[in-house]
Amino acid sequence: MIAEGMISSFVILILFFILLLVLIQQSKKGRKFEMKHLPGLDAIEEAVGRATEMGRPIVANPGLGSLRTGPVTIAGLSVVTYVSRIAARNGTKLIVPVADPEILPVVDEIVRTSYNLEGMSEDFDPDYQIRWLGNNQWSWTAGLQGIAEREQVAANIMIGSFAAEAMILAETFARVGAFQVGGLTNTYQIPFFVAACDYTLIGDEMLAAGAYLSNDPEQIATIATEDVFKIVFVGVIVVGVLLGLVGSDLMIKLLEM
Amino acid sequence: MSVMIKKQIPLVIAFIVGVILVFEWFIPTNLGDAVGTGLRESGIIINSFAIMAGVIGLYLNEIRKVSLRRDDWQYSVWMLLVVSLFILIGVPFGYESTNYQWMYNSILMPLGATMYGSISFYIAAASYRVLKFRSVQSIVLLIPAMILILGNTPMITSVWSGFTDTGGWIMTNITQPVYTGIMIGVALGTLATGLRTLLGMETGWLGRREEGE
Amino acid sequence: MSEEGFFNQLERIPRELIYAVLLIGLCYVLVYPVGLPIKVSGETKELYDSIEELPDDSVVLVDIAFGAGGMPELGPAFTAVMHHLYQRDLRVIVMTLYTEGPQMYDILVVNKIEPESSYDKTYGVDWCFFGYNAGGVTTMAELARNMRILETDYRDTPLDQLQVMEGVEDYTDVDLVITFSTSSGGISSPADWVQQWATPYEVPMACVVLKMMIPTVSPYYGTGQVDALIPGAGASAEYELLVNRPDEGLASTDALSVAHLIVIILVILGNIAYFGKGGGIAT
Repeated sequence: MIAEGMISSFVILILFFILLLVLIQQSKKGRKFEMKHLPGLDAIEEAVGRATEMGRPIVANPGLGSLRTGPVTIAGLSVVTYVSRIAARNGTKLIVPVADPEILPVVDEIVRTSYNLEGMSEDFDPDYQIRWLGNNQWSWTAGLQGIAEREQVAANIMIGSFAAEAMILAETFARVGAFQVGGLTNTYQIPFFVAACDYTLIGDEMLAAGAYLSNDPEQIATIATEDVFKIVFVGVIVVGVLLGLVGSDLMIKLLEM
Repeated sequence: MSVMIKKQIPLVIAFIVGVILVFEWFIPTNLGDAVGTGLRESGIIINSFAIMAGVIGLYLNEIRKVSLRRDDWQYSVWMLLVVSLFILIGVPFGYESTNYQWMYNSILMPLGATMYGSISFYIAAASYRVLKFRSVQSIVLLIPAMILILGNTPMITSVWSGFTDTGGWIMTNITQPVYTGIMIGVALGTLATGLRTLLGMETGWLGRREEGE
Repeated sequence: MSEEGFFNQLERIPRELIYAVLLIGLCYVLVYPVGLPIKVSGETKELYDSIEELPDDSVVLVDIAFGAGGMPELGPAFTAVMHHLYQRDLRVIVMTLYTEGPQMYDILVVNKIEPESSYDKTYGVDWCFFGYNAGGVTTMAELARNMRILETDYRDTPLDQLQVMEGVEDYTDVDLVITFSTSSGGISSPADWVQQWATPYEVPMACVVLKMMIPTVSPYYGTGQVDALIPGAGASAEYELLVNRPDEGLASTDALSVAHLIVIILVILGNIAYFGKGGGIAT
């Protein structure tokens, strides 16, 4: 019934889903899952406060992606939601640069709703705050560089989908003295963010941002599920290596099923 | 339409489509294949319409900025002119036409290539600022970086290939396993985020927050 | 100037000066190339051999997944590999899911390589180009199951009328996929090709990517899901040597050397300044 070569993936998916439901149920019954602190996300509130004192704007950048790049953009949008709430509460000028036109209405709704929920709807200025800079990678980058220099941005929260422009953006915002929190899953851009940003979220730390910032027990239960499976995979790797050392390819055959 | 329905309908659609596509991937059947193909082709069509909707939204926003004389409205005029020019040439004559090709080759391509080329300048400035024997962590960053830079310098590798071999060892035995580990974490994170989205727990893509938060 | 003042100055070299030195250095070697010898790496030879060993009339699917930004690095490599494909008697199907892909095709294939005059090849018989198709990974996944979902090529000729497409229905009829990619995900990244073609259907795959992407794609190369993996920078020069078509790749090796040497000098200066000011290693 299941396609050849997909059985092991299917089993992993079903087990993941079952464990997810079990841990969500446990969280509903009151079990608390502790997440380690992510200094990058903890620093966002401090960054916004710093920008407010300096009277300079902050940039909440969800990256180049669209909803087609899926979880990465969703994580970026979760952070934009969080940052826009704090900015609205503190009266800090906020700029959200958008590359893909698909997410332009989503970002508009996010920021507008954040300001409404904080009772600061009169401070919401879509022309200033939501800036579509073109979905060409380089026009977007050039536009952002211009924003950094002209506005003298105090904090740059860039968590989302980034490609080759990561280095340019990180270095440009560093040049204007902005406090930077970066997060991306693009492994080959990680070194640039690590070098240029004050805090960096690497890989799945970034994908956990939504759950971490919401502090929702059910969402945190999904992170717990991930962690359980990481331990399982480490076990699989260890067993596979040991089997390989004695000349058995059983683990490989099981995973190839 | 109430907020409940505005939120619930997209979540229900996302759940149904997601479940169908997941099962269609794992359990091939003729019906599943046909439905999955139909959904994927619909996705392609919807994506094209989304681009069109984005361009329409862009026009509306930028025209409003110009009419209200907002800050930097002159740039909005320029953007509208350039976008209109590309559309007026591209749509009737096609992107293979000489005029469109000329515009692309003369304007977009050199600008894009220049922006990409400017990365090297930023890397040079960042390397100078960051790569120092400041702490144990920065030394761990600095030494392999130097070995890899030397190993990728043709002037040096044509004389001695030791840096290339060492750099290759670092890439194969340190970088690659580390990246594999990160990719496994990202894959699990993607799976968790995807399932959160299907279950309606992750609603950031809807652009809405819970009432009363 | 006191010692401390000197090291302070050394630590604060203006960015503009760094940019100027780099710019002058790069321009100089591009105008007056040094022309040092280069060695062909095993990885580049691997890609060359994988194409060389294909039987005549094999079908090669070439994916253009870069635009103007990636052109300086991947353009020379793409040109060199396409020269190789045209030098052999193969059926080449070029596709792109990038909006700028057709422009890259026009610049590099139509205007630069000119297969019809250079290799006596005929469009539609020896090669074809699908043009730009939206949909990213969705389209890529569908193509594996049915190459005819894209009904026409970029000249609006029905695929059924192209001799090069005769008998090419799905992944089983493709002998090698070569992707030239700057993408990290969502639209024609190497990971997408591995997920949609190489892993489920075991189609032989080669990736030519930006140098900085090598660590990301090398896990797939290590497991055999990708059969050949080369970076655009550097490897393009090597490939030009192998196919005997010296071009921009070879010309840019000196610029590569100069840029790297300047970075090394800057790092050394930065550390001299740091220690000169009394800095130490924090534990």
